[in-house]
Parts: sequence; C-alpha cells; structure tokens
Amino acid sequence: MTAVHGSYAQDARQKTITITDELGREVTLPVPVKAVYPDLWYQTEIVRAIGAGKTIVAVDQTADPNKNPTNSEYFAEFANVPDAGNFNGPNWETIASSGAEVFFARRNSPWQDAVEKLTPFGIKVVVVSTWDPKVLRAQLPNVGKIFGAEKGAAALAQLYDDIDDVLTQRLKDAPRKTVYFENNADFVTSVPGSGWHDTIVLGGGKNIFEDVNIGNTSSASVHTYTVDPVAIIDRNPDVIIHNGVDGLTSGYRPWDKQKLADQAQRIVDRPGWSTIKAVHDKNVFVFNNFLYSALGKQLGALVVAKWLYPDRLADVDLDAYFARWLEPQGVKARPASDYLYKLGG
Amino acid sequence: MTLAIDSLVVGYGKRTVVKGATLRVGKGELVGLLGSNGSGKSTLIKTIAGINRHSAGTITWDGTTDLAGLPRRELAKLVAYVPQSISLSFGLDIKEAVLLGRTPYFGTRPSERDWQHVEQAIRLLGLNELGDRAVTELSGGQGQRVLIARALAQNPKILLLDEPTSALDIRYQWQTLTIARQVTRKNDVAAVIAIHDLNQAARFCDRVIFLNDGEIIAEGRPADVYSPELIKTVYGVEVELSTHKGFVQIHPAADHDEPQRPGHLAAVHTSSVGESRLQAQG
Amino acid sequence: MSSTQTDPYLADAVSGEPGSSRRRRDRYAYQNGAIVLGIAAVIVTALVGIQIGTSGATFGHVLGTFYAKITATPPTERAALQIQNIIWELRVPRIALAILGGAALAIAGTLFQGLLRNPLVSPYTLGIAPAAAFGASLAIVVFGATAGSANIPLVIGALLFSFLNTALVLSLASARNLNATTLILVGIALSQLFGALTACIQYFAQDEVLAAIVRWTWGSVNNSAWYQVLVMFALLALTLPYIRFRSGALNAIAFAGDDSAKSLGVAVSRVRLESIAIAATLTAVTIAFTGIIGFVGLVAPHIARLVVGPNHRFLITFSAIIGALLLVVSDAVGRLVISPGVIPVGIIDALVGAPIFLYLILTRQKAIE
Repeated sequence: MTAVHGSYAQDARQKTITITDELGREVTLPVPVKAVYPDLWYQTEIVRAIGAGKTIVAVDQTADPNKNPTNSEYFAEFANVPDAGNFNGPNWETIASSGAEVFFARRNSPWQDAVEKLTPFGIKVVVVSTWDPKVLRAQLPNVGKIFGAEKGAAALAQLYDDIDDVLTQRLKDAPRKTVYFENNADFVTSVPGSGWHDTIVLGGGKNIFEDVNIGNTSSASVHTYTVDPVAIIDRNPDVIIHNGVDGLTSGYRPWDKQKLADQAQRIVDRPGWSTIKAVHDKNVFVFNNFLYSALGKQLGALVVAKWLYPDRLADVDLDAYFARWLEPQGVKARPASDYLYKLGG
Repeated sequence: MTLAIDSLVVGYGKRTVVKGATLRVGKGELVGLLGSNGSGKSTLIKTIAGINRHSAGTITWDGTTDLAGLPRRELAKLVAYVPQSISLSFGLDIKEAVLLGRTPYFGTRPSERDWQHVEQAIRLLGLNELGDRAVTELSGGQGQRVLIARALAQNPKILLLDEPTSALDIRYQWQTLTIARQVTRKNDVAAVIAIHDLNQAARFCDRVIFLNDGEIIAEGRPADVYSPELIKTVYGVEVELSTHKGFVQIHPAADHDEPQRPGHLAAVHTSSVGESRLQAQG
Repeated sequence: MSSTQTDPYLADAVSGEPGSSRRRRDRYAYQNGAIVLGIAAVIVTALVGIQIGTSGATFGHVLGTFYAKITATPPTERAALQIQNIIWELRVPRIALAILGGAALAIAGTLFQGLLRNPLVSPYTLGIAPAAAFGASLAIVVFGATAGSANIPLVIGALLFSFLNTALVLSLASARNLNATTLILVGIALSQLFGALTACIQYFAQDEVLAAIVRWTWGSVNNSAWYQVLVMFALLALTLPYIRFRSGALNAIAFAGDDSAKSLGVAVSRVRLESIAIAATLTAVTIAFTGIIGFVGLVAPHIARLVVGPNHRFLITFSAIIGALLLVVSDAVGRLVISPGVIPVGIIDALVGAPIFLYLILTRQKAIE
C-alpha cells in the first residue's frame, strides 16, 4: 500500500525537534504536527484541551460519536473522521491512510506494534499516558511543542498546577483517611501502579490496598485487582468510592441521578458490609468517570479531596475547575454534581 | 412351555429385515439360527429380547404371555440376551459385571438373593477361579463366559445368544457352545443361538433354523435339514455333506473354489477329498 | 458332545453355602467407609476453609456462629458479632457454594462419562460452557450485568443459553436417535459456535465489559450469595437421591452397552435423556453462579473411580465428595497465595488437581482403561 502523505508541506518546516516521551524514547519530528491519531478518548481530549483539536485526523472507537451515545455531543466534531476501531488492535491501514503524522498513545497500548506497522509510512509514535496524572503533567510542555500549541498546553498545565496547589495547601497535615476504591465491578479495586490508585493518594486518601505489590505495572491487574470481600471488611475503610454504575457508559451526557443512588445502595446492602465504618457513616460515593478522569484524573483528585475533607475544601469551587476543563473541549459547562453522588443524596 | 413366534415382521425405517417369521423353541432346547450376513439373524434375536420392536406378529411364552405387552423389567426377568462381545470403557470386576444381570430385580441395593444368583452363575461358568479380576483383563473366552453368567443371573426362561463365537478362537468357540448347551439343559431354558458356523451348529444345536433374506426357509434337526441345495440357496456355495461321529458336517464341493471363466475350459482343481473319491470310484 | 461326558471347561454348579452371608454384608464395606470418611473430610475442610484468611476468627468462632444461628442467640459483644457476621454472611456462603458447585459439577461429569461411555468427556462436552459464557456476555453487554455474579440478569442470561444449548442437543439426540459418539461431535460443533459468538461480543466490547466477561469465564466463588447456596442445595437435594436411585440403570448403560442394557430392562433412551437433562441443569446452574470452573467435572469422577471403583451406586456420591473437596481446597489456596487478592478458583483447581490426578493415573494405571 502506498503511503498517503498528509497535509504538511514537503518543503519548509519551521523546525525539527527531539522530545523524550514517557518511556524515555527519543522521538525526532518536524513541528508543528498537523495530523495526529490519538489512540483513546483520554488522548483525544488532551489534544483538544491544548487547542490542537483540528489536527485530529482519525480516532478510535471510544471517541467515535456514532458509537458512543453518551458522548455523541462531546465528540460531535469527529463524526466524519475515520474510525480505526478497537484501541487494543486498531486498523493500521485506516491510521496510515488518514494522513496522520503522529500516533499519540498510552503506554498500555500496542505501541510497539504501532512502531513496527506505522514507521514505514513515516508516522512517529509518541507515548504519553494522559490517564496518568504525573506523566501528563510532566509531558504537557512536550505535547505543547509537538502541536505548536504551547499556549494551550501552558493553560492546561496551569489548571493542573492550580489544582495541585489547592490539594497541597488544603491537605496539609490532614489525617489520611482510608479509602476503599472500587473500579466498576464488585470487589475489584486498583492498587499501586494504577492511575486510579494515584488519584486517591493525590486526593489525600490512603488506599486500603496500598500494600499490594504487583511487579509489572503495565499489567492490567493493577487497575482491576479482585480482592476477598472479607479483606475489605477487615480493613474497615473510612470512605468507599465506586467508579461508575453497572452497565452504564460514562460520557458527557449525565446519568439519571437515581441510577447512581441505586448503585450506592447496592454497595451498602452487601451482606456483612453494615459494620464497615464508611457504610456506617454514610461516606459512600459513586462517580461518573467523565468528570473524574478529566485532565489525567486531576479533577478526580480534587473530587476525592472534597469528599474526604469537606470542611477543609468547603470553599473550593469544583464547578469552576470543571468549567476550565470543559471550555477548550468546546462544550457547554455542566455542574460537577451531575457526575457525582454521595449516599443519602 | 414354549417360545412361540408367529408371523413376526421387523423393519428399520423403510427396510423390512424379518419378513414374517414363525418358529417354536421348547424348554431345554438349543436352537441354532443360521443364515448369511444380513439375513436377519441378529435382528430376530434382538426383537425377541425386546431391543427392537416388531411391527407385526406375536411373540408368546407358554401360550399365555405376550412378550410385547410386558413392561421392560418383567421382560428382562424372562428373557436374557448375550451380545457378541463385551464392551467396556471402565473395568468392572467379575462379580459386579455378573451382578448387572440382576438389574431388573433390584433398585439400588442388591439383596442376598441377588448375590446368590450371581454366585451361582459364576460357579456354573467356572469363573470363581478368576477371583476379583477386572473384566478388561480377561481373555475373549473368559469375557464371553462372563456375559453368559450375566445372562444366567437374570434367571431367565429364554436365553438368546447373538453370535457369541464370532470373535473367539477355536478353543473358546467350543467352550462357549459347550457351556451354552449345558446351561440350556441344566437350567431348562429355551435357547436360541445365532451362529454362522454350520458345522458347529450341527454339533451343538438340537435344531436349526435357516433365515434367508428375512424369511425362514428351513427348520429341523441338522441332519434332516442340511442339504447342498439349501446351503447353496442360503450361502451361495457348493458343498458336500458327510457324517462325523453322528453329526452332519459340511465341506466345500470338489471344484467349488475356482471361478468359471467363460470361453475357457474350466481348470479342474481337485481337493484331496475329491481326488480320493474319484480314485475310489475309478 | 453329550452332556454325560465330563467337560474339561466346566465346573459343576454348587448351591450357595450358608455362612457366606456375613461376607456379603461386608461386600461394600470399603466403599461405604470411603464415603463416610469423605463426608467427614468435607466437613473438616469446610470448617478450615471458613476459618482461613478470616483474621481473628478461630474454630471456636466458626462453631459458635453455627450454634448462634441454630439457637437464634446472636452474641452481644461487638467484636464477636462482627466476626460472626463476616463468617455467616461471607465465608459460609462462599465455602458452601464451593462445596455444592464442586459436587454438582462432579456429579454431572460422572453422569456424562457413564452415559456417553467415554472417560474423556466432561460436563462441558455438549457445549454448555461456551453457551453459558455467551449468555453471560450478552447479559453483561445488553443489561450491563457486572462480573459480580450475584447479579440476576447475568445468572438468567447464562442459564437461558445453557438450557437452549441442552435442549438443542437433546432434541437432536431423541429425534435423530443419535448415538454417543455423534452426541459428542454435536457438542463440539455447538461449543465452537458459541465460542465464536462470544468472541464476537468481546471483540466489539468496551474495555470494562470485556474485562467483566473475561473475569466471569475464569470461574469464581468470590461473589457468592446466600440465595445461590439455597438454590444449589435444593437442586442437589432433589437430584442426588434420584440419580442414586437410577444407579442400577446407569451401570447397565455404562457397562453393558445400549442393547444389553435394554435387554436388562432399562429404558435406555429415557434414562439417557433424563440424566443428561439433570447433568446439564446441574452444570448450567453452577456455571450461572460461579462462571466456568473447569477441570473438576472431568477429573473428580476419575479420582473417585480410582478410590471406590466404577459402580455408580458409590461413584456418584464419592465424585460429589471429591468435587467438593477440590473446590474448597482450591478456593482456600486462591485466597491465601496472594492475600488480600484472590486467584479465581477455576484457575487454582486445575493447578491443584492436575498433579493429584497425574499421580493417581501413574500409580493405578489399570483402573482407568
């Protein structure tokens, strides 16, 4: 198959730079990049967030508005952009023929395959896991440079740092409350190595399963680690935070509040759970990942902090930070409470 | 007491295999069922045993009991079937294998009486010397004896043997037939044995019945019934008869085994028998 | 040969001797003893399983919990109440499900092996497991059932397709009079079909859904609930006596062949269909609650056979015992090895059972053939 070159001028390029991506790979590429394939909706969001949304020439199925009813508005601009399909095994031909110059991927993606398959077409692979808050923050300057969107990247970094500051100041000397984090399925939690875990820690919490040590942090089991329910009861968390509602896909379009309430109720109704401190104190929370995962879960960390220490963050305006995130995404601002629920309403 | 079969018709799908069979078997009588492959011997036997269903005709015992009307378990207490060979995936020991014959009599727990029948059958068949061996360790002949013992444990009045000698070597063929005959006499059962060896049939059976293409074409004592014409009809071979120690015996006819080549003189192949006869005559 | 000649091949018939009746009463002493011992082992293992990995719980607590429930006198002291709560709400259903599920799968495996006269078949041979997996996947995708298998839509999805698969196999079997080999081949074909359909769903599924489906197929008792225990108990209480009652017929079918079994008074087709239906139900309900636990349905009957022999009168019960033991031990191991994490019981039981099985095969080879 002949490579179809994209829209960049073949002669004068402003410059060529070399950046070091998250995995320490040195990537040399002419900038600004004008065509990119972000390999998951987190990646897509970040590209758009820094103001480079127009460079997206292909998306995966999670950013395809036709396949994601809850995000049909959110990703409306990609309605006519080619869909490369399953992010674990994308259609390389679609990507190659889309004119993309860069494959912008997470580390838990088939990026090695991408290197092998796309290099013949001159497509560069840049690995930045935007779901990982630390990685995202560290790499934002690079990402800005790649797309010639230094200002947008800086604004995003500013948002990130502002939240960081809030967290650092307000959580100073806070007694670390213990948290059981449940990742969508019963008794499935996240452990160190996972961005879900990091978010809890950033938010001032102590993951009751922080002692679990999985060697290979690229393995999926850091994100979805099945535990014995008795261990949860034994560890008696102060707070329970549950991702999602059974069967519902997260997205810009909020869920019916009742569904979140039902999910929380299901948790407290579990046999033997009434003795857990979190259940007893009604500190059971359910969230819609759309808000929680925004900006590499930085918003999530803020949410966690507000839930764990409502007094210390009483005047922190979650809606304002959320709006700063949503604005470059090109959609109307929504209240954070649409995506969050505490037991008892 | 007689096993009476009248105008029995048995078919598989559209094919009729037994086309109106009528025969009688008395107590203590061993009747041989002869015929070429596909003539319906096995089908007939299995129908009497209740394994196949007949579409017309009757099977009656003792003039009163219609076998087709009996519930399965009752039939099994009356009629025992010995298959061609023992088919096992897992090793039962001999006692358990013979105990299977008591299935129609007990539900879950075999009683003392059941075990008595089992032990009696084992002794009768000389299997007690083999002890606790698994059936899979036995020779062909020993396995066949187990099957017969199982049938006897059923305490039947009618005993059916479906080509029990096909897979055995000659020592065990004779043994099985001897046992069949002995058992028939001792236990006073009406016995039918499907058999393909004409000479053995003549030697061990009281009467024989010839099936040809699903119909009974001859019936009686071997010495009375065997004839070259009959054998030719049923088996398509030329034979000569002789008598050995009072039993009729079949031999291939002098030049039977050389196919006729049209347009050529038939080569004359004389067997030693034929030759000596010619010499004797000449 | 006249009957008056002495026959070198025959021994004369001798009537039964008195005094041998005591020998007969002990005839199955070994098997019965094995079963009694087995039941005791299950009880002990269950108690140990309940206690293991439950911090602060002693055997005293375990026994105390049962006593409190029976006499309806819960403890007043808070710590004790907490422990009893954990034991009764979480540990007991888990262990009970492992016991009942293991027993059910083992019984189903025994039935299939006997009915199909093939030592290599398992409860999954007729395609039930892939069908159930498909039903569960469908439920997860369409109704958003979670991998928490206490979830009703998921249970229903798995059950529905299990029964669909079984009905298909059985109606083919009775309409076309399929013999054992053909049945197995049909099962293989259906396995492939449902396996492919499930793979289709997985391919197009969202990440969480995909993970949920995969997790379910590993087989687990981590999400056990009391209602599942009660359903399984009722099912086994109903079917086990019936199967034992049929053990004579099963022996005939398994060891004498279809024709001979008929001649021994067994309604072969009817018994086979009924027994397959029962085995399929046991399997389907278990899978619906636990996901797909492999190995135990294939191997428990073999291990049992090596101990008590092939007579179904004892084999069925002892298989159930072995199946129960296998799963309780596997669950305990899965909980201990990476505590507080849990390795699904379906994975452990293969790892635990395979060496045991190999050892038994190599030392007692003859009994398998």
